[in-house]
Amino acid sequence: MTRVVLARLVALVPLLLIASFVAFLLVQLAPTDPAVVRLGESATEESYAAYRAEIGVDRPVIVQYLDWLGGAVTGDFGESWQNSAPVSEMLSSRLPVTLSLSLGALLVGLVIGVPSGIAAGIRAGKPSDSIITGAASIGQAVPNFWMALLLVAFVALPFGVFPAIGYANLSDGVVDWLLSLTLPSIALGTAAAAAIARQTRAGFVRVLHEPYVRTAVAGGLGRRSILLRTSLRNAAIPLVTTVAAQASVLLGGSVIVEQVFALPGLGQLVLNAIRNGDLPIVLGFVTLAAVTMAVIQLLLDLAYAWLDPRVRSA
Amino acid sequence: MRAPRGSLVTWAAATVVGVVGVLAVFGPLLTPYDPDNGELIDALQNPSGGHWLGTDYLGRDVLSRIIAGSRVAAVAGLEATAVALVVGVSIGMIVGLAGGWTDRIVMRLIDGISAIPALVLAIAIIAALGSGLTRSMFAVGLAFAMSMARLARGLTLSERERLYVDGARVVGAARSRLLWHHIAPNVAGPIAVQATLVFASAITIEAGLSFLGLGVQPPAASWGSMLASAQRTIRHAPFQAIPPGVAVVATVLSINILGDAVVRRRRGDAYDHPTGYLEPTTIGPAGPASGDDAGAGGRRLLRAAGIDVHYGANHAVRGADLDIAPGEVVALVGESGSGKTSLAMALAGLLTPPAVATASEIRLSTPDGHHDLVGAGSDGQRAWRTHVGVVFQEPSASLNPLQTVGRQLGDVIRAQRRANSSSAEPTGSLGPAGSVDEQVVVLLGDVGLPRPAEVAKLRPGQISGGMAQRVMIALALAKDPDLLVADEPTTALDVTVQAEIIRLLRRLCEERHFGVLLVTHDLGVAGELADHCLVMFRGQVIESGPIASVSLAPTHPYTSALVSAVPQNEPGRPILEPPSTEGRVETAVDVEIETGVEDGEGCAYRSRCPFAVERCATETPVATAVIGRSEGERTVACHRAEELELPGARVVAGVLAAPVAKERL
Repeated sequence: MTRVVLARLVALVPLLLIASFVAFLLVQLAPTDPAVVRLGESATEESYAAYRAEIGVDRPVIVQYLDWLGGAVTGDFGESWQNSAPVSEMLSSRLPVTLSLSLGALLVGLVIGVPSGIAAGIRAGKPSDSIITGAASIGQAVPNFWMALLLVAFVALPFGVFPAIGYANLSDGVVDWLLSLTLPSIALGTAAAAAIARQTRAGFVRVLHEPYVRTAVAGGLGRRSILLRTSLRNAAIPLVTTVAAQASVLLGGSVIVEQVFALPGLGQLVLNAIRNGDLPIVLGFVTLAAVTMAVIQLLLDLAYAWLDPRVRSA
Repeated sequence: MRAPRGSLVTWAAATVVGVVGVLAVFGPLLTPYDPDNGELIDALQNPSGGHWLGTDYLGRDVLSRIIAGSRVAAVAGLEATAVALVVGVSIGMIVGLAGGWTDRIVMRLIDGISAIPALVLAIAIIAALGSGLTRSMFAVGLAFAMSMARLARGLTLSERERLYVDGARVVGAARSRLLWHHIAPNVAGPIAVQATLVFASAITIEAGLSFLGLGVQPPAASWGSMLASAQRTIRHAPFQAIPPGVAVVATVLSINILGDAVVRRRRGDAYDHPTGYLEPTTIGPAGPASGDDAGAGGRRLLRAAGIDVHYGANHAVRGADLDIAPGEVVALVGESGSGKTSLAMALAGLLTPPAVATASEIRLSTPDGHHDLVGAGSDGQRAWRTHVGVVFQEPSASLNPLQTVGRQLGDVIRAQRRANSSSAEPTGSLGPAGSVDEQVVVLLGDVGLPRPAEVAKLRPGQISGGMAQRVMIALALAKDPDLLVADEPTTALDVTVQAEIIRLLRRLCEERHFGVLLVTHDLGVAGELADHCLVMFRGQVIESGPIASVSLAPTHPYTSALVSAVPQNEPGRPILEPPSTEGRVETAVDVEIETGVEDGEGCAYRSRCPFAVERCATETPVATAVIGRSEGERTVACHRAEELELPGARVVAGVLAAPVAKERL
C-alpha cells in the first residue's frame, strides 16, 4: 500500500511540471505588457523598461520559468503586476472559499447521486428507475449558474433563510458559514449528482451482467444480499474515476457559481485579473488548480486501492 | 413497451435540435423585434401578447433575443467541436500510429495539461488570447481536444493491433493509406459520439463564459449573457431567468439524448435487460406432457417435460424431455449452440431475460416432498434452488474477484441455513456442524483443496483455474444438493486439471448419491461420468439412452458423427491427433452461424446429414423408442433410424490418459 502511494506521488511530479510549464507558456503568449498594467497607458518609455527589468520579463522564457518554478515550489507565485502584492497571499486568502464550495458541491453530488444511483440500479427497468434516470439526464443538462440563479430567485429571496449573496467566514460562526455555502453547493453540485447517479446505476447494471452474480443467485443468496454484499463494491470502483472527473468540473465550475452568489473566492479574483491583464494571478490560479486536482487524484487513487484489493497487492 | 417510449423521447429530442437548428439558420428572418435594441419605456415587461416572453431591463424583446442566441449557441458548439476534432483527432491518430517515444512524450504532455480542469484551462487561454465568442470557443475546443486526442489514440492503437492492419502493412501499404483506408473508418464511430458530447458541453460553457462576460460581448444576445442581465434584475423580475435557462437545458438535453440513442444503437441490446442475472425468468406453463408418468421408471428425482426456450426468434430448446433418477448421472451432449446450456439453466431455475421459457412439467421429488419449477415466482425459484447445486463453465469469471473464497462460500452456507431453518419440514440429511467458518474449511477440504483454511482467505485472482473450479464445486455442495447441474465443468481447464476435476466429480457422485445433470460438448467426459446421455442438436434432443449403448450403437447420424470425433483412449496416443475425417462434426464456428435458424419444417440436421432423403426436408422427426434395443430406454428422432447401420465406439475421456501430476483424491 505504501508503495502504491509513493509511486503515485512520484508520478505527480512530471505531471505538475508539465501543467505549470504549459500554463506559463500560455501566459507568455498574451500580448499584455506588464509595464502598462502596472504603470498605466501614460508613463514614459524609460519607466516601462525599468519595470520590465525589475520583474525580469526581458529575460529568456525558460529562465523566467525556472525562476518562477523555483519560487512556486516554495509557495511563492510572484507578484501581481497591478499592485505588487504577493500572488500566493491573494490566492491563499481566497482558496478556502473556493475549496469549501467545491467540496460542498462534491458532497451534494455524492449524497444525492450515490443513493439515487443505487435506487435506480436495484430497480433497473422499473418505473422508479426511469424517473431517476430521466431526472439525472435533465440534471446533467442544467448549467450550474442557471441553477444558482433559480435558487436565488425562488429560494433565497422569497424565504430569506439562506443568503442570496455573500460569504460568511467559518470564524463568524459555523451556522452562518454553512448557510452561505448551502445554495451555492447545491447549484454547483446538481450536475455532479446527476452524473454520479447515472454512473452508479450504470455500474450496477454492468455488475448484474457478471457471471458471479449468477453464482450468487444460484447459491441462494437473497436479492438484498446480492445487491449490497455481492455487487455494491464492484459497482463502486468505476465511480472513483467519475468522482475524479467531477472534482475537476466542480473546481472549474466554482468560478462561475461564485460570481452569482458574490462569493469572494478564486473565481472573483481571477476574473478581475483577466479584466486587468494581471497574468501572474491567472498563472498562479491555474497552477493551484492543477495541484489541487493532483491531490484529489491521489486521494481517489487511495480510495480505489481500498475498494479493489487487486490494486493493493499488485 | 420500452422501445416506443424510448423512441418517443428520441423523436422529441430530434425535434428540439431541429427547431434550434432552424432558428440558428433563419433566426434573423424570424425575430419579431430587433434583438439588440429596445425602448427603455418597455423595460421588464411580463409576458404578453406583444412580447410573448416579456422584455429585459433595456426593453429588448426576450423571445427575439432567445432566437438570436440560438445562432450563437450553434456557432459556439460547432466551433469548439471543430477545434477539438481537428486538433484532438489528428494528434491522437498520429501518435497512436507513430508509437514509441513520440507517443510517450505527447501523451505525458496531454496528461499534464489534463491535470488542469478544462474550464480553468479555457479561462487561462482566454486570459492569453482575449475574450470574445470566437476566441473563447477556440479555447474551449483546445481544452476538449485533450480528451479527444486520448480517445483517438486509444482507438487507433486498438485498430492497429488488428490483423488486417498488420496484413496491409506486410503488403506494404503506406502509412497515410493505412490511416485513411483501414483505421479512420473504425475510429469514426466512437469519435462521433464523443463529438456530440463536446458539442453539448460547449453550448453550456459558452453560456457560462458569456454569463461571466468572457464570451459574447454586449449588446449581442447569447443565452448566457441574457442570464447575466437577468441576474441584475432578479429581485424585481425573476421570470427573466427562466427562458434562457430553459433554452440551454432543452438544447443540451436533446443533444445528449440523441447521443445516447446512437450509443445504444451501436452497442446493441446490452441495456435492454438491466437486471442481468439478478432476476431469473419464470418458466411459464405449456400444455400437458405428451407421455404419462404414472409411476413409470420407478423412483424419479427430476422429471422435466416439454421444455421450450426462446431467445427472441431463436428457438434454443425445442420440447425437451428429461428424467433423472436419484444417484443417476445424465449427460447432455451437443455442440455449442445446441441449446444444452439453456436447457440446463432452465432446470437450475437460472434462465434470465431475454430468454423466455415454457414447460409442461419440471418437478423435483426429494425426501421432503415434491417441488415444481413451472410457474414458480422468485420465492418458489429460491426454494427450488436450495435443492439444486450448480457448477458453471468458467470458474474464474463465476467467482467474485473482490471477495475471498471463504466469504463467498460462507454467504451460500448462511443462505442455505436460513432457508433450511425457515422451511416447514426440517431436512434430516443436513446437519451442519459448527460455525459457518468451520463448514467452509470442511467443504474446501471435501473438494480436495490442500490447506483449505488458507485457501479460504484467498481471492479468486490468487488461485488457479483448477482450484477455482473446486471452489465452484464446493459452492454447489454447500447446499447438500439433491441435484447437481454441472455446465461444462472441465472445458475452461487445462488437460491435467480436467482429469482431476472428472475424478473429483466421480468420487462425489459415488459418495453423495445425488442426481447429476452434466452438460458437455465432450462425449469422452460424458462417457467417464454419465449413466445416461441425451444428444442435443439445434435445440432438439435427437437421441437418448444409456451412454454405453448410445455410443457403441448410435442410431442417429449426428450421434454417430459425434462419437467418431472423440479421440480413442489408446495409451501413448496424443489427444490432439485429428480424428478420422469421415462424418466429422463441423467446428463450433460453423455452427454458431447457423444457430439463428428459425422454426421450420424438416429435420434440423438434414443439411449436414449424408443420409438425408426427401422426407427429411418436409417432415420434422419426433423422438420415438428405438425398436430392438433391449439395453434400456432409448429414443431417437430420425426418419431413417431403423434402416441405417451407423458406426459407434466406446468413448472415454482422452484427458484421463494424460499424466496427473499430483493426485489428491
